[in-house]
Amino acid sequence: MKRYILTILFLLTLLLPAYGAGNKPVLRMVTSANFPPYEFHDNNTIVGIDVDIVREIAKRNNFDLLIEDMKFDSIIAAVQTGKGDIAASAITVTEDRKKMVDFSIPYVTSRQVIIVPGDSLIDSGKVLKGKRIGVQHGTTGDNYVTENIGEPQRYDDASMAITALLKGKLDAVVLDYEPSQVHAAKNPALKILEEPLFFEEYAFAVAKGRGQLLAVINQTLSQLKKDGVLTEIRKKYEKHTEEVVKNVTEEKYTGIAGDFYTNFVKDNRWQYLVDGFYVTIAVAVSSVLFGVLIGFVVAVIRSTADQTGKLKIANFFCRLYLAVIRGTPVVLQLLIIYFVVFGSVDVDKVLVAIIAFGINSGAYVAEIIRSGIMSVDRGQMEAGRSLGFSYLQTMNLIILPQAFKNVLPALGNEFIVLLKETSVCGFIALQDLTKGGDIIRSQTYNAFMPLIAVALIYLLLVVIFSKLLEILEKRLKRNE
Amino acid sequence: MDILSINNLSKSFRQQQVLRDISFTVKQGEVIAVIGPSGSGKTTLLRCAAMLENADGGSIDLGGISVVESGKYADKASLKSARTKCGMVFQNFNLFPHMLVLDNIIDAPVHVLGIPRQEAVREALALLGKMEMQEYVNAYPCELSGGQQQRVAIARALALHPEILFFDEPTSALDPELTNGVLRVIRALAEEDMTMVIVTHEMDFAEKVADRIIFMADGMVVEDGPAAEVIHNPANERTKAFIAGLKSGF
Ligand SMILES: Nc1ncnc2c1ncn2[C@@H]1O[C@H](COP(=O)(O)OP(=O)(O)OP(=O)(O)O)[C@@H](O)[C@H]1O
Ligand SMILES: [Mg+2]
Repeated sequence: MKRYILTILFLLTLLLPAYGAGNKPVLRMVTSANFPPYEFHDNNTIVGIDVDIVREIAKRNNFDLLIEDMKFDSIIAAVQTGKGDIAASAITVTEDRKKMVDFSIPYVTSRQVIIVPGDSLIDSGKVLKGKRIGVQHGTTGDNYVTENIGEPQRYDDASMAITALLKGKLDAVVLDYEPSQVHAAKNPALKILEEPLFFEEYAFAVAKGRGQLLAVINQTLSQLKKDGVLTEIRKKYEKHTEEVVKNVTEEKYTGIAGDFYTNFVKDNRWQYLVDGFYVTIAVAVSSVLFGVLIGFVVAVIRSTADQTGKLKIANFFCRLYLAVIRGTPVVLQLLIIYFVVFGSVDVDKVLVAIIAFGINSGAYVAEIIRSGIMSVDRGQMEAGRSLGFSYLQTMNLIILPQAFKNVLPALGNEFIVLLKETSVCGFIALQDLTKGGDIIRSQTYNAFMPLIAVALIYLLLVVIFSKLLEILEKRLKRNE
Repeated sequence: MDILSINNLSKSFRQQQVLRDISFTVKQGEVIAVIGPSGSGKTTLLRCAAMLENADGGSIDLGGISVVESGKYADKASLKSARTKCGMVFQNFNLFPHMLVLDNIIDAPVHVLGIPRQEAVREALALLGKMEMQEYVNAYPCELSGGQQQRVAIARALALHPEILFFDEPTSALDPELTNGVLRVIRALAEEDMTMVIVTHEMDFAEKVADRIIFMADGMVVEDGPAAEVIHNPANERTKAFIAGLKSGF
């Protein structure tokens, strides 16, 4: 048993990347890089208007810039908890948000537009009442529609909303101006209404009480405005939008082959899937090992308490752990561990994910192993004790190996569930397989290809894993 | 010298008193057969003696160690050393199914007594030879018949060099044609002066092998005497009835 534990610990340490410390002060920018031209992935780096501006701010004030990509929903929380210094993600200034963070001076005025099918009778924002409207969840479009028009259909990203519109599930989509242009160019069946729904201003956000940083940001922003650098940056990316529009309309190949080319081959986009694949595997494998470790300990404590009446206090805490972990969604556990538990320390996110999923999985593994322990004949414990083994020795040498074998199929199942659950890693800005697919989608404005590719990779992983498990089970069956 | 001495032992499960005021001693090299109707407390008595169950009252001395004195158990260290002085052979063998026959036998000597593996293996092979089981060293328990498993279980208990061996109906889970092999090795052990307490329903075997027979009923020792005497000329009415019942077939 000791040997297994050492192996597990060793594997865990392999997965911890080494930390290097820079010498300049670091400015950590948090963003949700699926919103071209403001922030998006290009050739495996994050670029865009916001990125260029913040990079300029960092340069002029002698900071090292560190960019963190996460879900838009998490960005405000990230600066509030100190996970990031500056939120730069085409964030619209709203009264609600002002209560939570401080905003810089605005650096751009943008607008929310309405996209409808070409033959739609909707011709302005005034006739939207009672219609089925799609928005991107948590955006200002979402807020505006919710407050002024009615409950919208909220999608995780714009391409999903556009797809729903194309399929006739929606009457209109409210979206930011720039991405709308790409979507409309790509789908000739859609049109953008001339009259915007409303105008809005983008600004950077910092945590309350960081007046000094805010002053630096504002001062540099004013300079950039005066220098004309701001306009330059915007021009640079206008070209980018034009290019994207050109690209999506004049594709090299057409049909499925064309889709395949743009989604995976072009700009080496497959690399997102490969990188994400490694993260998914690393997180899933290490957290299952960590979970098995926790599970064994908890299961032994619980069984010992049940069988001997000892360890009452430890048993109480184990039961509390099981109740809390099994009673709450894993996404919340992940967010709490990232933002609350490790709120003020800088910990690698892969490690955070491993801890969160390991703790989560441990609860399920514990009950699986406990059922395995109960399935072992009572005579085995007696035989062990009569040979002079202590209770724990008997557990380790005699009961647990048999229990483990009995529950191997259930443990395998738990691993499969966990593997797929790690797809919520994107919430803490970890680029796993699912997130890799999301990034491709945000670049190609194509909802299906990346989704299907990601699904196929998960499927393949599960099939391979099931096969390996089958082989292992057969080998362990020899003594039955 | 007394290897085992039990005095006024009592044990209850909830309301039900299973052992009442049990006293007897076992001398070095003695073989004792315990007989009695089902539910009379034979298994419970063995389990208390082997420290698998805690008695409520009375005293047990095992191999010169006072395990329990007037219902009070000794400290952990004494209990641990007392445990290695006795071995237990169960009705349904309780071999470790995930281990080879060899590992079943050497596991405790290596991990509990700290005997070097090589030495433990050498001794295990000798014990298996004695049990007529040497060719099954590398088999898993599931590949053996019940009788063979029981002989491995006896070898496993002997590997710790116990001063006394307890058997709880070692043949009653076996098909009749398999019992002989097991009884033969127990008899061989008796001839080597192994001290043993055997709960059994095999009267012929008890008469041939045991020095004394203890008859239990309702948690009490009803009769305790030389084997031939208890079987052929019991003093107590209940013993008489029990033995007559066995002889008539049921
Ligand atoms: N763990 C236990 N909990 C409660 N009652 C028990 C327990 N073990 C045994 N008993 C009861 O104690 C009494 C004596 O049981 P024991 O197994 O010692 O009898 P036995 O003489 O070995 O019988 P058999 O010949 O059927 O094996 C029985 O009434 C049984 O139901
Ligand atoms: Mg019994």
